[in-house]
Amino acid sequence: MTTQNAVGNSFAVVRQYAPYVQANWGYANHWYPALFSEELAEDGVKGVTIGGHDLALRRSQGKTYAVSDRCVHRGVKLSGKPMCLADGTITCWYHGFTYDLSDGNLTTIVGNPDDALIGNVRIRTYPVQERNGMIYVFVGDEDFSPVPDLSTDLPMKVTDDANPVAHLLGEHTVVKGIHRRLVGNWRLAAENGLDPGHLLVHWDNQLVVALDRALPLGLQALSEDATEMIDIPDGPKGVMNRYDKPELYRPVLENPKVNMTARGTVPHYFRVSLWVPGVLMVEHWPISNFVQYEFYVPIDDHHHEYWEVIAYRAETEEERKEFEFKFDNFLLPLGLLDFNNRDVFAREATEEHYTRFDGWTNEVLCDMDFSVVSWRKQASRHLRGYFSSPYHDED
Amino acid sequence: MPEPSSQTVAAEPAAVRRIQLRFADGATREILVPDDSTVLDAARAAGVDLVSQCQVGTCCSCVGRVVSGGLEMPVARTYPLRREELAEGQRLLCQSSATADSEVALDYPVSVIEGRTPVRTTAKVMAVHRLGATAVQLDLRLPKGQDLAFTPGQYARLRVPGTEEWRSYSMASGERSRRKLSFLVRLLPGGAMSTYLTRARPGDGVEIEAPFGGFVLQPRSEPHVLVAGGTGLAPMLSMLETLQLHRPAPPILLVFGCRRGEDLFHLDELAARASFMPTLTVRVTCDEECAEPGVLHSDPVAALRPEDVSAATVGYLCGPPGMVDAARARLTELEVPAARIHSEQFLAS
Repeated sequence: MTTQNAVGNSFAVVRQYAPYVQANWGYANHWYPALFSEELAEDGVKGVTIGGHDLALRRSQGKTYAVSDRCVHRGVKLSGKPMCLADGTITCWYHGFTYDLSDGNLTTIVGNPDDALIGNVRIRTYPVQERNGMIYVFVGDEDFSPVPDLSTDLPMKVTDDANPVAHLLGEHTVVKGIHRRLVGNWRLAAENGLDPGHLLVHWDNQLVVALDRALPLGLQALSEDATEMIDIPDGPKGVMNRYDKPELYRPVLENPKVNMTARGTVPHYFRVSLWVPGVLMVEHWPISNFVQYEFYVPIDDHHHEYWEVIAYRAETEEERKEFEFKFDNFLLPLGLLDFNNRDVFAREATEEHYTRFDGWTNEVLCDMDFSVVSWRKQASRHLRGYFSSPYHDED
Repeated sequence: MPEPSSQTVAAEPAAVRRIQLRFADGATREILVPDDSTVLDAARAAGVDLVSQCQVGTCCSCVGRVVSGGLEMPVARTYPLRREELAEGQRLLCQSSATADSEVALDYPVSVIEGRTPVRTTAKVMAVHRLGATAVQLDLRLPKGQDLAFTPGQYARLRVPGTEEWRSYSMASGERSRRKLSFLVRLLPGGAMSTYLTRARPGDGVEIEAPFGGFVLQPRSEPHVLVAGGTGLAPMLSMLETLQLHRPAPPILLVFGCRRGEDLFHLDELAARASFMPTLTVRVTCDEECAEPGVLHSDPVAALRPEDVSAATVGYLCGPPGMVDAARARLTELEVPAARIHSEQFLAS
């Protein structure tokens, strides 16, 4: 035996943010987006998986509900073949077990209304909120109480800007976006979003070239204030790259060793921040006065639902229509697809190393990663719980 | 009602008392105790398997406190309860019979005994790490399908491989980790486990039975003071993993001490915990002068200052008996109520 000191649970290179590294399945007891409102029609049922929890979302008489997507009887997914026979209930398509959406109680069985189970068993219900076109669900321990305010799990409301971007819960906020299931752990996705060093992958994106945007090769932080840790009491917790303070950064415009020079002549201000439990805010992106939010919702330990959302403050019907036109014909194809597809490629490529070769202890972080490390530390202080594998007997 | 005849006196049926067991989480269970049975036996007969170990009145793990009514233990022998503990109603339930209908308070939540039948299986050694001069961390892995649900503070019994000896060690790993368990073992010259550990190899089989013990964390938001001596740090590490998620986050003071500088261990582990648990303060002490920076030349109890505790403080103490007694006395002196001081002492063997 040799004497070793670094052998606890929080050891070695990951010691400053061990809880984060342990959160393979994501953070439990937080709010996550489940669907866009327009994806759930009246009487519709959709299944989603968040942190290993299978949820069925259902809209009945205008109200949105989330219940466990497993029939107690034989465990099939209710959303597998949606069946709703009465308002305020959901029925399992297999043997007709029918549950009250508000409390999950088994209210009847289609073919056996006198069954002794009726009134004695239930499926779990989850807190739901629908705000500005998005449906959020609070996922985690059934007895977690009190359920924190939704705003604590969303990026802060920006106030230090002459023209602050729209907050997700803002009064006139309109939201449009897409979401897709991707290979890759939620943390790799979140870190890619914040990473000030990954501009290289966006070097020749259509958006950047078309707008002749001045995009440096990289950004070197000059002080630790370059990434601010933000901890709002009873509010959001996150880190922000203070691109609004140019004195904190040195843009790298050329690298003669590889004969590369930054392209573009039109300066563009934007600012990136990342919030627990994994929500990115890019202010003034893809263009000024718009804001891009991204959620990296853990599905399991190797997949996440990637949410790309553009928000805008539209006070009139004309403004809303103009926003939708711009979204369909510019922001979606050039921003959420062409630009962000590079990020998708990068994360999926990163996943392999972190899965197969324990990347968390086999990475070599550089100067540019100061921001990512700040995020890991901040995220280690503010989790409310861990999702864990729901699979029987899995490690 | 017929008069009992004088001949039937010897055959008088046993009286039965009604006992209300009140757990720390407020849960209650009612049992009937015939006067020829101990409370512990009657509870078990009623399906309430209270925390106990030795069942002969020596280990103190079955202790309960009489709130009303009366429990009596045989006289003319000594028990591991001090006079003042007896005076406040503490009784060993494995020795007590009931003299009246009673209410008995237990200092652990009902979850400790319900749904927690001890698992007995053979674990595999994953790693043995030397920590400082006199301690070892032993990492075990349970076989697939053997999940160990436990409450931080509880312990496992391990059979020393190649012997018939069993030893008890608290889980140092957190309750989320149900198959990979860590233990801290104090090395003793000639000790059975210590001797085994010098030849332990990854892959060795170790028989394990767990969980046991009523020294369990009941997470709250009030300030926590954790006092650990030597490998008494193990249950505290497990508790910290649970407290890390408790909201509102309790302020926590962990005082950890060893006798000699070369015995100290896990200082980096504790520093890391403090870095991501903003409400955790760690104070490390050493009885002897020690070169390690930041270590106080003190014993862990003397390092407790009046400003460290308030009327709401909850205390958890684990270490050698002398330290636990001194820490309890110190917290009592600082006006922490006895009901909020939880302790476990161990004798090295």
